[in-house]
Amino acid sequence: MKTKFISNLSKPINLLLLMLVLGMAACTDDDDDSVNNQPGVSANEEELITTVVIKVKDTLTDVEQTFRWTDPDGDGGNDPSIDTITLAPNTFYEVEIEFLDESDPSDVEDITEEIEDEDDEHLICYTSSPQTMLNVLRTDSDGTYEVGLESTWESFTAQNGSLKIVLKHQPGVKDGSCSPGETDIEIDLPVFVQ
Amino acid sequence: MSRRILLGCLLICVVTFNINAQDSCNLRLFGRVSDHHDGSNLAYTNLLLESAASNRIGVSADEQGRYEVDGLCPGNYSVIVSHIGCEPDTFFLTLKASRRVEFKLEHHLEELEEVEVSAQLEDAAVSESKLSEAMLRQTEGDDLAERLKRINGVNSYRTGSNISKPMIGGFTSNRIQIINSGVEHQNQNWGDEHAPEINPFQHVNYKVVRGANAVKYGGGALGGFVLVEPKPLKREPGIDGKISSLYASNNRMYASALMLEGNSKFIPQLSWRAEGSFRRAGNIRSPNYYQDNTGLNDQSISWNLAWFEDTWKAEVFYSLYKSELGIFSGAHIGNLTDLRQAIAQERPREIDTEGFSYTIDRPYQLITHELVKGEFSRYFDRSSLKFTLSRQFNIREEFDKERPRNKEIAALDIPEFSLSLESYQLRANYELDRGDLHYELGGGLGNRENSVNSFVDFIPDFNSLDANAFGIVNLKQGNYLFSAAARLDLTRYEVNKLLNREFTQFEHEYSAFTLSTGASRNLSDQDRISLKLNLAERAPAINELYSEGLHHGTASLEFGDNQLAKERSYNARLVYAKQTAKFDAEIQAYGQYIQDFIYLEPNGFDLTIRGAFPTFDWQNTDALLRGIDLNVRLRPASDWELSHQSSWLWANQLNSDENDYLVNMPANRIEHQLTYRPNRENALLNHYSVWLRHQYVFRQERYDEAVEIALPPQAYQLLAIGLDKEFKFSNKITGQLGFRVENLLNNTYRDYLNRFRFYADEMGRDARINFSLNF
Repeated sequence: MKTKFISNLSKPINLLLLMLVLGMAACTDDDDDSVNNQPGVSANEEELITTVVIKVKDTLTDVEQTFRWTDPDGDGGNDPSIDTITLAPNTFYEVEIEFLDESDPSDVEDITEEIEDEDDEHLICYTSSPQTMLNVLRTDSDGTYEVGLESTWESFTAQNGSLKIVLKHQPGVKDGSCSPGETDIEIDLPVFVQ
Repeated sequence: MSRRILLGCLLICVVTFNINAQDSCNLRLFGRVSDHHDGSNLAYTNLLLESAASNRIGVSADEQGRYEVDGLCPGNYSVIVSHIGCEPDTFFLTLKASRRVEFKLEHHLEELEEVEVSAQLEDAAVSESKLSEAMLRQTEGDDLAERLKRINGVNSYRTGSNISKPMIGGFTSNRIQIINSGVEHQNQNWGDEHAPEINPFQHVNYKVVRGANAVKYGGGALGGFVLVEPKPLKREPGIDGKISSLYASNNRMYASALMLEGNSKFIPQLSWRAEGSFRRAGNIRSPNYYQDNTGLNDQSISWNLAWFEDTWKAEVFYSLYKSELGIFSGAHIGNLTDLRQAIAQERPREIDTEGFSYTIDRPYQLITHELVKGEFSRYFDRSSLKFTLSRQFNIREEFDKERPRNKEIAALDIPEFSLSLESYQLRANYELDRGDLHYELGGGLGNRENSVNSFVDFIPDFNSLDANAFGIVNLKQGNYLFSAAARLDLTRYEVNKLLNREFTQFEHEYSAFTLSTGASRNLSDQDRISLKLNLAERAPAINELYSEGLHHGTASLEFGDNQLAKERSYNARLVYAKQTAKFDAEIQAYGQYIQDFIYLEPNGFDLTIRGAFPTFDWQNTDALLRGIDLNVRLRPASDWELSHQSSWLWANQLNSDENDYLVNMPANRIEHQLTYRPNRENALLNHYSVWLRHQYVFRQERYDEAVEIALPPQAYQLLAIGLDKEFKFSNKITGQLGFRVENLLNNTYRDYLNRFRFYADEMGRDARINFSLNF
């Protein structure tokens, strides 16, 4: 995002000072530009997560449903679009969760793989409210602790509520619980068990 | 010791005298003798002139410090200037024509005052406070804001322990302007966590100018100005220098600085100075734990070269400052839930309080600031003309705690937030002194070019052009002094903002007008009263217009508004000062009404993928500030001094429906200091002072619950103790030893003006020792 160097009006000033500066051990402005000086493109752009995709499969019928929480224009701007999770009562589901960067519709990035690569630093926590609506058990492991990219959900009686999904980044501090580390994602989705 | 030759002779004068004066001894030397530190006149000073050609000539200055010697022959002179209470000093000068020379004398240590607060006599519209020589020595190596907070009414607005910004009368960032070596310091000033890039050891004087009325320094600084003024260069032949070192126990900081300056008798016109310094500090320790990753590491170099002639002076100044500032790892949070958890817990997590280390890891800031300045001054008989051309370059890189998940990109270790700002300024000043009437006119042109070099932009790329002009007139009439000044600033922004992955261009033009007047009256030899009134406007800053994004430390979203109106401030300040042999007092009372005050208005919550964040929008409102700063110094006996300083502030936002308090305003505070400074014949006991300081900071009770993330912390009090000793090894070599302990009782407290008050306690006990050698 570098813009042009000299503003038109101040050209004489620039030239004069340039002469002054050239004679000295002046620092230059190209220290870090080699990496990211193309307009609109930055090496760390991929960090953004805009979308959470929840794939829910009924273990008896094998019917698969997909629910999305997505905010492609990032913080602020347009409000996120949030699907309502609809489940049948007293049913078991196998669930997979995916994280995407859809900020550029022509180049959707899958962040899930990066979380898998560093699964010992990540934990996904699911909190049902009310608690008696849904029982979520993480079924995958980083070798020591659960991760939460895969889980089983058991629904109870018909009711409405919400599910909080939190992705924690816990480098060096992962202990299987949700409290340490920093919150990378914290979303709430409405849930209808009907 | 150095002195500046202020005014030369008119060019025609010089030519005429040069022709006539070669063989005739009819030259005149005249001027004034003043105190090097506060500029006050030194009455009845003795001057002894010596030259190879003539005999010794002795004269005495009058009660105003004025002197005059007639019938001098052209040639080289040494002038020995002596005054009761001052070291006699020798000055060298070349006389080719009649000229005016101002001599400045250094006082003894025991004569130095702790904080000198004085309204500058030359401009009744300005209220200026200067950091005393003793305070400069005591705080050497501290950050700018930490040094300036010794001045009453000035606070340090901080982010953790090693990022601090000066705050004057409740204002900081966009409402404060720092003038470094005569040049407007251009950095990413808008950010609360962006500290000014000022070398903590530079051979300078610090001044704080309150109110927006000092129009010659800039427009739009509604809070005031901080002047970082290099001390005058050495004009007599030889090389002087200074070595300073310090060690602080709390964060185990060690720092050193070397300054050399000189002049050669072969080229007496040329004076130079070179400086270099570094600081290295590790994690700071609160009374109960270390704060991980709070180290700092900075270096600076600077030099200047000046060529002095009777009628002109040319100077080049260069400085480079680099710093690496660790940010407390426990203050880096992902979202509001994390922040609430941090506020709820009494102390930071174990993992963020592991122990001492000098290592700086992520998160940290890496900052480089460079200044190049060329200055040319032309002196006439009663007037002078000065041109200044400068270029500044500022790089700010902020590295987040988390590296990118993608290993390839993480390996590049690039900053998540990176800005560079390049700016040029050209200024011209003309001064005319007609004794009781003094004029100053000036104008300037400048540009700024801001480039965002990271994906996170928060503020956009922009170019700005600034043009300004000002005029000041000061008039002395008997016991009265009147001042009036006006200034116009024009700013044009060209903004390149990234919207939906495309750059969109916006343009803005603003004009800002400043008008200030002042009158002061000497009621007697001992007291003076002055009233200053001014009107000042400030154009919105780039962040107020265009900021967009998340503040990590405060878990809040901030949005600019490019339709904001400029601010207009109406300010009145009344100053009364009294000075007697046993007693000094100064009271300043001020009121400031700001129409269309630009502030962050809470605007509910915005839902993001990291949860809901409180949202703040930049808005115009009206605000009213009232304050009182009080300074009293008692000298009941010659060895003892007791000082009091207190600062009181009420700051409201004037909404139509309710009166809310402004956020982040300093709480009221009181400070007392007792100093023992024996004045004995015994060389061992002489030249030292011992002091004890008590500070009480009230809880900020005037807060707005809708805006505060957490309730303001409790009141606290601190004790500090110190010892200063001056050594004289020879006539040329002197040394100073300073020892002080801050937070003597190792109190646990948090400060409202620290943005990291949610996360950790302030620094615990800190013992500091510093030594400097002048040669």
